Amino acid sequence: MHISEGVLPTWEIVTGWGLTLIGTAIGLRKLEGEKLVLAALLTSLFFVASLIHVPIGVGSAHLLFNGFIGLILGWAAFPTILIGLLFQALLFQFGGLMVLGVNTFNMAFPAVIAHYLFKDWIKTEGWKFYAGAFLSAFVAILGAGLLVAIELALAGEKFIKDAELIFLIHIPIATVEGIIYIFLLKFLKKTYPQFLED
Amino acid sequence: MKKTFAVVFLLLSTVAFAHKVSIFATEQNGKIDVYGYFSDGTPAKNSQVEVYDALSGKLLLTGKTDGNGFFEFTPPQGVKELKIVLYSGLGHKAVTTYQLEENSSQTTTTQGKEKTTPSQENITTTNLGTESIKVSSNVEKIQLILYTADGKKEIFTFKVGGNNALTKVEQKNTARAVENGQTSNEQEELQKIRQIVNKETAFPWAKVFCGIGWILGIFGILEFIYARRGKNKVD
Repeated sequence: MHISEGVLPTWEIVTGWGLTLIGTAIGLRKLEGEKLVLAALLTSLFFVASLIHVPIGVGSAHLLFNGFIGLILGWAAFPTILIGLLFQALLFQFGGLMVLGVNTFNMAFPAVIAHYLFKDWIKTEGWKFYAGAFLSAFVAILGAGLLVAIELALAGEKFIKDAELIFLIHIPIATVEGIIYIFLLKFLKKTYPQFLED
Repeated sequence: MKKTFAVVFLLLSTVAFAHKVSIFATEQNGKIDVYGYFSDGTPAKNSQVEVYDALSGKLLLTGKTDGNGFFEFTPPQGVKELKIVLYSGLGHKAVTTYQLEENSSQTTTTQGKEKTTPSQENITTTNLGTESIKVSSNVEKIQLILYTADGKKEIFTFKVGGNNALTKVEQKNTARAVENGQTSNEQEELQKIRQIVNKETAFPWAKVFCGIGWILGIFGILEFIYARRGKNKVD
């Protein structure tokens, strides 16, 4: 999911940075009070999650947790994921500094979409809560994969093959994450319900 | 949030990590062996490899790694430095440069031994990469047979698969292996690859804690800024 340095053309890198900076600016305005502390913890979670590797038949993929971050933080997912990716690039050479903008947008934008789609669902009880928590993982992860595939297609790679691979690899990842989200949200609801209200 | 961390660390203790592709190139008997692997140690299978002349930037040849992450090729004459690029799909890419020696037979004489030209000629197949391509991608063991200069035969068996494609399981005629310069070079080569792969794929605990520290620090500074702003508003 982390696009490497030197794969994308310059215009995509510039556009990626532009969109990421807009998102980060909006996100920083929403980060206030206790949410900031939560964002710090979620950034650490995101930073570590990419090291958690899940072996899947056709290859290997890692957990993302962008859906969870999006559900709870909304637009603040942008600064959160930006900082998480920055340290992944610096310490583990995942992605790179030039493509940081594109990579942040890829993971944060679908997270924001998941936020608007499911934020009301997860406040309810019953099947809507479970469905919302579970589906937000699919929207965020497969959305990120789709953006990666589109960007690679624009850079000249074959879209169908990449898109296929992304879906093959990330459906199991999204399933695993969806289940984790349900438990995390249940816990948050019980102990810190104020984090789910905006 | 306690639970969040409990979940994370619970998972960390049982799984390897991903997700960066790396590339490793070695030279054997004038051929270049490229090995692609992910940061969790799994080989980069069926990945596109492009070889360029590093000085002129000209594309020399392309190919794909096999089921064990290997790709082997013979560099064209007259090229001094190669740039090897590996694409493992989904935007993952690794680059390495390889300096070709003027005289390829010198590669085996690092320990001050004289050039072992006859024994080099007598070794028919020393390359694990090629053997595994020819047999099939799901072979479990590879037998490496070395014919030495005085006509003796040595057999090495390698286990293939798992995380690191090269795991030696048994070796016959160990005493002879030490005597023969070429053989020990082969072993050193394989060991070198394994060492590098193992080192790169070990879980980077220090870096993980370093990163978490930085992240919390940055948010601490943000908190400070927000707190001051809030205070200013009230005043």
